[in-house]
Amino acid sequence: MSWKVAHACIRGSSHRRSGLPNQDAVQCTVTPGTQATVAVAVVSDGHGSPRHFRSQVGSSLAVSTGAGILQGFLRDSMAGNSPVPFVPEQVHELERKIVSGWLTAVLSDLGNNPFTETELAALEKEDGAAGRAEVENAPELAYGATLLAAAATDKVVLYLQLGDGEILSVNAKGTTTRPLPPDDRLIGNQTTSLCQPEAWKDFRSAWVTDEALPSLILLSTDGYANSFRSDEDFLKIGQDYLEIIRQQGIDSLAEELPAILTEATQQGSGDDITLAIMQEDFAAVGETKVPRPLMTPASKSALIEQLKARHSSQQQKLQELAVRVEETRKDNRRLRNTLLLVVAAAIAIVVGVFRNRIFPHGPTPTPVAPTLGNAPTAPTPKKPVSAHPPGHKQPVTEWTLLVGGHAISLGRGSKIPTPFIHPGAKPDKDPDAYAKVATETDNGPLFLINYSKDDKWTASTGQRIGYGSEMKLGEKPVAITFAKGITGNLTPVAEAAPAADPPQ
Amino acid sequence: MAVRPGGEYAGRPLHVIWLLDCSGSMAIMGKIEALNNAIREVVPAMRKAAEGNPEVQFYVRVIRFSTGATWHIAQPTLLSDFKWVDLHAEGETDLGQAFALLAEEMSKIPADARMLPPQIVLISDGKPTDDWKGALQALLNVPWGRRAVRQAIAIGQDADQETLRKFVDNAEKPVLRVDNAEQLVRYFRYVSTSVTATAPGKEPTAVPSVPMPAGDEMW
Repeated sequence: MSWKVAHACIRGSSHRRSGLPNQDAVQCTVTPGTQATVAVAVVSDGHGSPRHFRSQVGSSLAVSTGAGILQGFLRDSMAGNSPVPFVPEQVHELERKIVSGWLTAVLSDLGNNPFTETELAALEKEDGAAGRAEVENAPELAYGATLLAAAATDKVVLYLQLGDGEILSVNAKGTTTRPLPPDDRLIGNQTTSLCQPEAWKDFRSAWVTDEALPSLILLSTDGYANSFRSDEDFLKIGQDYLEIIRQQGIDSLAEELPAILTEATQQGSGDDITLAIMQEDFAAVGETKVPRPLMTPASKSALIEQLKARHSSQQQKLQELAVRVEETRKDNRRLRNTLLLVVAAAIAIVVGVFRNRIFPHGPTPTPVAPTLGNAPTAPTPKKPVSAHPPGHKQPVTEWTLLVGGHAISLGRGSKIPTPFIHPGAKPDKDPDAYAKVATETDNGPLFLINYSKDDKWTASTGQRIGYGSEMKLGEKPVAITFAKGITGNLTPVAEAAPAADPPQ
Repeated sequence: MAVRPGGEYAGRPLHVIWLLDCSGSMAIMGKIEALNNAIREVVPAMRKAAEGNPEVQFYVRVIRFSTGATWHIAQPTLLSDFKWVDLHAEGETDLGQAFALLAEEMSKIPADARMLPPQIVLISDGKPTDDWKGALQALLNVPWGRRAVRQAIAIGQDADQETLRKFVDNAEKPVLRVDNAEQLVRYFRYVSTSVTATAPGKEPTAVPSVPMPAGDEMW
């Protein structure tokens, strides 16, 4: 089984009249892999008001960033081949990654193409000096855009949405539903956006597996739904597109899509319209769709119990193993200490016996440290590997860095992109991060390491962090001055409460 | 093209609501006549401006307030179907009741993403005579009341500009004061056509680009 995709993205009729460009963007990919074929569709709608004057670039960066990250995420998730492909925390992390990836791409574009005086003057004319100042202070506003995405394999479909627009799921009978919950804030030309602070919090997400996989997924910018007289008129597209595809195939439909959408904008919203279609394509491997038996509630709860039992027995085994490992370590330490004592005693005896013979009146020799294989002669001061007995407070593993109006999420392996902390950085020339979070051991404390050759950081604790030096990340908020005029506030993130089940 | 998926297409609705002061003071110095005449000039100008914006369907309705408040035009009426029946002035300035009537109506409108933010224009020449503060808050508590583009025109020096400013609640949209019939037409037309001429997604700018018309301070 595989997925087929088709898409079109047309300039709105009101945009044509007013000279605005097409601010929508779309990217669809189907990538065969060793584990599974991954299909991804991403659409984005750049905001229309004057202060989002580069939103056509913003939407284009949103779809390219989103598609790349989603593809990797689904491929990695499938590699595990577990019955449940991912957990809510992973999806939240994915959402953060998309926002931060988009911000990095935006800043990189800005580095290559700084705002021109023409752009800023035009903004000032429309939005006043305050509007201009706002964009100069938070340049990502100029790139503001939404993001809607579906990523699918033969086992799972993941839906993500930030901002307005519509994702529809159509089953084999043509029944059309919205897989994501509604967002009441999206009325009256207002939308949540990638350009807002902490944008990842505004994502809506859901996923379905196996028998719940749809036959068709439709993703569209709001210009399409707004072109219909009512919601019922819009929802009817689900059944209609399914029938058209069954009759003439998705490739033939793809050729007609631009004309269909152009008629919609002319007779409807006047706005840019983008539509991406993903079709479950059983014919791709020559198999016919055999409906899988639906799970009865009883068998479902039995399976859940079974999984829980398996989970708890695995937990128990892990604990037993941990105890055994600790005992073995203790034994090893005892053995090593005993050996050291024996060796030291033997050397003392040998030295005592031979000293008087070789150096009857000579100087006292410098004691030579005895060696025994690779065993250390004295306990090397290693950083303690923190153990977490039950009930012990979990160490902080995540921090938020607020710098220049941006919130960057930091965890193991995170990097802070150069433009955030280094003045005048040219991201195209030096794409490497100037800082990253790393650790010495798998579960040891995390450190923020300075890779900026040009900067010496100063923390509010007084610690100075030069190039190659590190600062231990702790449980208390700390301010770091990365360079003159660039100070960030690093705050530990409290362990998140378990996320609610995704809405169906 | 053989196919057209989905149901019927339609432009996006934009509701314009006028709150018009018909208190006794409006009968003095020809103010109510000036308002009636202004509306007869404004509507054709709105129609013309809307031609450049064919994807939006503009609906107008009107609340009059004096002693109490009532719908003068209750049905959302397309600009093409709009017919004006003159207002008469007498009684108090029960602005609070007008806010309450509007808040009740706005609360019935579902949160439909198709709808563009409504425009509410308040025109008054005096101080409210009832408790308007609670009613204004109730209006602002309704999603469409809060998201509406609210604008106000103060007629003459006795108008309570402070109250009108609280209604507008937007530093970028100053209350426009008019002192004669010509200014009323000019500003009312400006406020109304700025909405019909502007493509969705852009907010109309509030400060008139037209210079203040010269004229006597009649009111």
